[in-house]
Amino acid sequence: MSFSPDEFTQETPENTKQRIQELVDNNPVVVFMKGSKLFPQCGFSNTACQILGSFDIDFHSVDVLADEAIRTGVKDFSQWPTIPQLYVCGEFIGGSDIMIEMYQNGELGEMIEKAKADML
Amino acid sequence: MSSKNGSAGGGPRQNLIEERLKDVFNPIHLDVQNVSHGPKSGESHFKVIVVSEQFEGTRLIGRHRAINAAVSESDGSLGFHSLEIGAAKTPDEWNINSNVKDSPKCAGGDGRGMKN
Repeated sequence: MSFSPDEFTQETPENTKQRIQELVDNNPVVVFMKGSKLFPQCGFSNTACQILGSFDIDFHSVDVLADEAIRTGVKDFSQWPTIPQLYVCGEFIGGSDIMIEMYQNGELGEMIEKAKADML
Repeated sequence: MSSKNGSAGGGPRQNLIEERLKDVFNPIHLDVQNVSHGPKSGESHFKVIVVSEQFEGTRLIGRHRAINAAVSESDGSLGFHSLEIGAAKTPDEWNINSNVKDSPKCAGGDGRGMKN
């Protein structure tokens, strides 16, 4: 078994970006948040989970508190300075403030319906 | 233009946020609140309400990006822990509905631990 030097070094920003891209591509609904779905560690991340939970879909969540590379990388990737961050069908939607407003006006529900079709 | 501070006087960060938002949006209504979970002097958490004609014809994501950009450092980072955008509306939208949602409670994710 051979080890590449990279095994013992930090992930490069390029690799992190790739990892984030894969997460966004492979999951129709993915939220980058603080904590997990079961145990959100921030009021805003909790709000995001509550909203997504109301749609009864199996959304993917990424705990940035457990992944420092993603915590900084996703802010650069999305050009958005705060967590949580929601992606639906590869498109960046925004943070919890936007989610609340889009949830209330029905826009988010429409997007989630389309994403559900992708999950089948 | 009306504007009110969350605390008397406001600290340097709060003043900076207000100045930047005024410069960029020339809002008809602006409210910048220091909602920091720790001491207010830490100026770590802010909630803003911006009502401006410049939002006409723009989508919510664009409005939020513009607000983020206005208050952020040159490297794109916020410079403080959390920015909540209570509302980013046009004057017409604000006249129809000026209710602003309540803020969620901290759950410790900013490193200060759980609060009741």
